[in-house]
Amino acid sequence: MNKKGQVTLFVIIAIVIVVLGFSFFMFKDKLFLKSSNIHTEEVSTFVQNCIEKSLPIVINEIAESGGYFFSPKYSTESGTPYYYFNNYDLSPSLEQIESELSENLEVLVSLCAEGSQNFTDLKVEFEEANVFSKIEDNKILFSVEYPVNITKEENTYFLKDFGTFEQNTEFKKFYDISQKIILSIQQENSLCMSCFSNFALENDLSINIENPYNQTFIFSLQERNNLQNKFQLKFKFAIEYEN
Amino acid sequence: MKTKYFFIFAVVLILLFLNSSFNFVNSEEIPSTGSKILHEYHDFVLLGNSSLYSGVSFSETEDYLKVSFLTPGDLPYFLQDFSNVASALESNHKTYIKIDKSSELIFEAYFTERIGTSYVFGNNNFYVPKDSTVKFSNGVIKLEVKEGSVFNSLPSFVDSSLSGNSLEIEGQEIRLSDDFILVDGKVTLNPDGWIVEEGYVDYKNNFIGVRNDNEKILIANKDVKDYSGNYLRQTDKSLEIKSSENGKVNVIFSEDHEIFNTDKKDRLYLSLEKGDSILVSTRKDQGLIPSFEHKSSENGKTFLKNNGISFKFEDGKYFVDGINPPKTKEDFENKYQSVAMEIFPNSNTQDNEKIRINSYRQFKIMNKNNNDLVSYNKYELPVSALIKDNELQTIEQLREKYPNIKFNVPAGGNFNEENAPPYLFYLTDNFMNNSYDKNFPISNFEFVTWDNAAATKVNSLKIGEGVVDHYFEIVPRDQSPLTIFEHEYEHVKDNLISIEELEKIQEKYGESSEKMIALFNEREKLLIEKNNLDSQLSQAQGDSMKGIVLEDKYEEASERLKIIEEKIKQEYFYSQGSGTLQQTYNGLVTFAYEDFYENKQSRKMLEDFSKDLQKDIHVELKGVLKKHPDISVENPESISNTFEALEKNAIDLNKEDIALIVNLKGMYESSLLYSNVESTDEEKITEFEKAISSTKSSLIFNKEFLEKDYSVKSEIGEKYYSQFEKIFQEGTGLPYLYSAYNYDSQKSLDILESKYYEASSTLREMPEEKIIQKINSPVSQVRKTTKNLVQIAFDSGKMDVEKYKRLMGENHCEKSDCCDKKCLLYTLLCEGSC
Repeated sequence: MNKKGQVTLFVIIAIVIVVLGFSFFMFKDKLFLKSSNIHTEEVSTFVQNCIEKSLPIVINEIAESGGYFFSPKYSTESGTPYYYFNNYDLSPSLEQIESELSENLEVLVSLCAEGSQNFTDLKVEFEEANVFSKIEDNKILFSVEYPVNITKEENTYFLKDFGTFEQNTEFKKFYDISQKIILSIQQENSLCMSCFSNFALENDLSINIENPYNQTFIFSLQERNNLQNKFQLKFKFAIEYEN
Repeated sequence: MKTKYFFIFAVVLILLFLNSSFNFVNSEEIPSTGSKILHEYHDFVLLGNSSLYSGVSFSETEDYLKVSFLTPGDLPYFLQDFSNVASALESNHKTYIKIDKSSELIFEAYFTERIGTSYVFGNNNFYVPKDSTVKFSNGVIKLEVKEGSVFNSLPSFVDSSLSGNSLEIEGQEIRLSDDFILVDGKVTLNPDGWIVEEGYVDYKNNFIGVRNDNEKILIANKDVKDYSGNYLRQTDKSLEIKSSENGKVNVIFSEDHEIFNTDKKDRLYLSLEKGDSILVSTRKDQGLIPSFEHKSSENGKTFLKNNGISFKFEDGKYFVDGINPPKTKEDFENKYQSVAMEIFPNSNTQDNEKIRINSYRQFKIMNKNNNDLVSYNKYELPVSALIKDNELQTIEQLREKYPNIKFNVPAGGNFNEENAPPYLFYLTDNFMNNSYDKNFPISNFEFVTWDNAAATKVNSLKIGEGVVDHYFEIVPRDQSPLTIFEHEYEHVKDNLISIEELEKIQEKYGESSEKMIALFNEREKLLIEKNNLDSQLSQAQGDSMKGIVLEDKYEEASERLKIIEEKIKQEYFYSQGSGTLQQTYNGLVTFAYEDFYENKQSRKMLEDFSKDLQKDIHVELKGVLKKHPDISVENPESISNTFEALEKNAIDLNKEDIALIVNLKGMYESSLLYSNVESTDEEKITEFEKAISSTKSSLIFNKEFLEKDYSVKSEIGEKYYSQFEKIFQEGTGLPYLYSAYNYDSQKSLDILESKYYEASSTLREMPEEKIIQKINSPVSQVRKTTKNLVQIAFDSGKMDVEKYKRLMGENHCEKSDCCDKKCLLYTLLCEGSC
């Protein structure tokens, strides 16, 4: 073979190597996933199930805790957060609530996964879940990353991105009404019952007010036409004002 | 002489005839006492009488005749109407009447009445009570009435189509009629009724106050829709109150109000301003509470205080201010109860809504379809429009309704049987209607002031107003009033089951072994001893020394009996391999702790929690150090070094700082136990349980007592308690931290000897939808613990099959009575399995 022919051969080999290498990096996830599907499917389904079951509970718990996973400093004895205290609006922003939803889902999914796993022949290790939530009108979106290492004999497989889950909910509507209630109290410096009844009527919900002690009022907003739903949304917050 | 007298007599007769004919024929003329006196006086003079006759002097001017009553004596016949007038000598003031010669009417008078007589002055017919003074001048008849006087008849106009002199009555505690009392002030007569000029009147239990001119009010006796001033009109069916354009009306509705149906505990106050009005109608005939229609005007304002729930109607909106429930002894002695009614506000709301208030300080706003829009302190309790649902007000009514149960209010509290809050009776009645199970009878309810509730003496319930009426600032676990009843009732059920268990063990296994026989013999002896002591105790009443000795002995025998009974139950467990109800609950709590301990994520949550907690403990310690710059710490970033340095120098610290450090140290030491717990070694689980109990106690102490008892402000308990509780709930599946409260801290996680009494009762606090959520939780330990709690309640007969199915799901059982799911966890008394 002459030198020119040798060079051509080397070039072709190099191109083949580059193409193969490029293809490997391009399609490695697919290749691995394909090969690991047999072992990861069970785990993936299990985790997805945990996530799906957790969503309504998380939304409900966060709504009932006024948008918080753990009660904030300014809360009632029973842990309901003050949205209005000493003439200050302390209500959390939607972004804050999204972060609390994420934290709660991370914990719940981890508790579910750690507590329920029972995989034969597989060693499954869960790392920390990472959730991003987005509250929209009539729904909340949750993007879930949950790194999972699966070992089957000598082989290790990896799962991470579980995609985005969508849960229909009136959460935002309830939050918006809580803001209207705060605004009404700020403007009127009193509990404007006719305003509240208007909010309830317009939004097809009921508002329950409890006055556990002087100047503290706990508001619970509840859907009126969904009483049979076991995950009926109840949004709770407290206010304290002196008139 | 005879002819002369006959002539005079004839003249008098003619004059009399003319006089009466004159009155009769002239319809414009009002029958007048004055004209009678005037004419007869002239005859009297003609008859030759003197101007001074029997203590009465007559003086005449061109315009009038003045009759002065100087001294006591027989009056001339034409003055008989004034025979009860006290003379000037008696009353110590000028006493006279003046009659206008042209109109022949009395136009001025000043006298005091001796015994109570009716007078007619022009068109005014009025009664003057004993010792009251009449002052009449310038067209105004003023009656200064003696305190406590009673009017036999109300003043009126002789001809109601005509007006007369203005008539004023002034005084205190004057009963003008059966339902009209001038409490203190002044009223005037008006063709449409009475006008309250100033002060206070009580009309048909409407207590009206007038302090300014714009508050003057007409108490109308007929329809006065066009009247421009303030008015109030009450008929058998309704009460109408209207304020004038610039006016104001203040009314307190007192007990026995016919329209509001009030009682002595009710407190209801109304103020209307600038054109606002109300119409209250009784609906007794329909069995309904009254309706209260409010009509607002452009600038009007209405304020209704119905036992501290203050409603304000203004600018087409309505507002409410917080309730102030009774707390002190004085509160209970006063009025504090709400009056049931349905308010129909004339507001700018979109619907024909109404506000329904019950007799128990709760209300809700409903739309035209009777759907609840807003409720206030309702706590899932009924707020009914029916009179019968609002009638329960006294302990006697409870006794009548539930004759097999004793109800009492012990002495020494802020209230007694007479003024105990009806709200307590209402709650009790609701509990009896909704949650009471005849299979688990309650013998006694005791209502007290304190801020707690308890199951006592096996099947008695002690209910504290402080905890069910939410006036104390600490309401455990956000419980509703009814769940507090239910929580304690669950203890009663457990107590009754425990007794029945012993009977069953005796009956079935009492002779199964030598040990069992010996234990039951011992129990028998102790029961006899206890009963003897009990009867001796009742006989020893009055002998306090003997009583104390016997009480001690009784307590000691009861304690020994408890120990023997516990041993019997343990023996049963060993011999049969299944537990009593309490042992089953102990097992549930123990397994819940194990699940918590074994779940990596639960431990991680606790570890994160303890790290955050330690950081904040360190911050607070640094705060103490800052106050004592002379205390040096070798490595201030080390929390243990900081503790060490502060403890070494404790002598320099004040008691507040020491209390804080002791509290923080306890919390810190507990928190250390959460790190790196990997082993499932049994001892370590026990340590873990102790750490949880200790953290819980120190957080509670930090949150509730540190500031109260030591004036130390620490934010740790406030910040971490609910966080800790949440981790515990998620980790164990138990309803609350309190669910794992062990009444015997020496015997933790011991199936046989622990005393986790609250595991059973705290399930009752959770709303059904919450339990269902937990049964369907993605977290296995939450699912498991909740299902087991429900299962034990079902197995032991404390939960009925309908509730069991609702909670577990309709498809959970194969058989409609769920016999296929019965007796799965608890068997000793369990019946009904297939």
